[in-house]
Amino acid sequence: MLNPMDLTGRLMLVTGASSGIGRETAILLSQLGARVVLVARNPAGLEQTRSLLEGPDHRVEPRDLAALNDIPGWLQGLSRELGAFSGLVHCAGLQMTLPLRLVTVQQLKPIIEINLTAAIMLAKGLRQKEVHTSPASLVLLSSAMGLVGSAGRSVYSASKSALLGLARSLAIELAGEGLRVNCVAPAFVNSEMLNDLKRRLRPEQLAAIESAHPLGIGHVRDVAHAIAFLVADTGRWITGTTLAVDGGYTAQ
Amino acid sequence: MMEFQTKQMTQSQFLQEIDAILEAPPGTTTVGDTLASLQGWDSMAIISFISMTDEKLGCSLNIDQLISCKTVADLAGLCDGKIV
Repeated sequence: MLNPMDLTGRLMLVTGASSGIGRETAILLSQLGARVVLVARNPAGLEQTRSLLEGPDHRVEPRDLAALNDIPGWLQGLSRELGAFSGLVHCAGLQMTLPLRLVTVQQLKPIIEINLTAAIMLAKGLRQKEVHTSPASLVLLSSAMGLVGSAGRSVYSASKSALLGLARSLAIELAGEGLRVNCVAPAFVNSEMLNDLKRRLRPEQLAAIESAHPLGIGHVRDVAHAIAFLVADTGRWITGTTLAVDGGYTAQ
Repeated sequence: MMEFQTKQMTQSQFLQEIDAILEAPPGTTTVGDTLASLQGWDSMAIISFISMTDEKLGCSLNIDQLISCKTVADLAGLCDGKIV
């Protein structure tokens, strides 16, 4: 039986792999045959993810991406040790729900740094010679909030929307180097991030969110499927685009 | 992110944080005020209050706790004794 998403023998790196979409993506990539480097700040969460992966030779790599300038050198070191990466998925991100009148530079800085600046530095690191195979695929986790607006989420929306422009330009700039760059834009999925949001919203607000999804709230596996599609050979001729995985949230 | 060496604040500071959330002049909110009487105490203010207590007091409050509050004193009472 043909599996066009077979990733046997390929090396992948997933940030934000200690929970949520990042964890589920790492699991799926391992089930498709990839060796996976798991990156996040939380070593215990990473070990738990590793225990859920299939196959051998996965690597736990605790790292704070806030050390932005070090990212390219770190990726180079990893590739010297483990081999060239065929895929890198940036799922690590920070969420913030706060009305503009209360936003301070100190609060928005880490959101922009992890959601956007780290993405740029990961791309810079990945494009180095011998760090990536040719072809290879970079997938950036954007959000439905990067496509449509929502009160109280201006900073988060800005950071996720910026990834769309980043992917378009990098797709053109890096095509000649064999790198494809795409975004996935999920809406609300059952995850730790949604659980955190639930404690801040009234039941009627949560009901409104659910009813805004024609297909209902999604699952992390729904997003992981889309990421794997773009990372694998199924995404061979796709670059510079954004795949909305949102149960119809942004179709309205 | 702003670091607080001790995750607590005085009652005066707590009231000033609420004034900031409501965009009211400092000194407007008092501990005896009912939430219903606070101008601008809406869903956005509630989200802001939860974020503020998260960041500045290390208190992980949820909406159900806030819905049960009737006064500013009730809000202070949610903060694990960190309003000194």
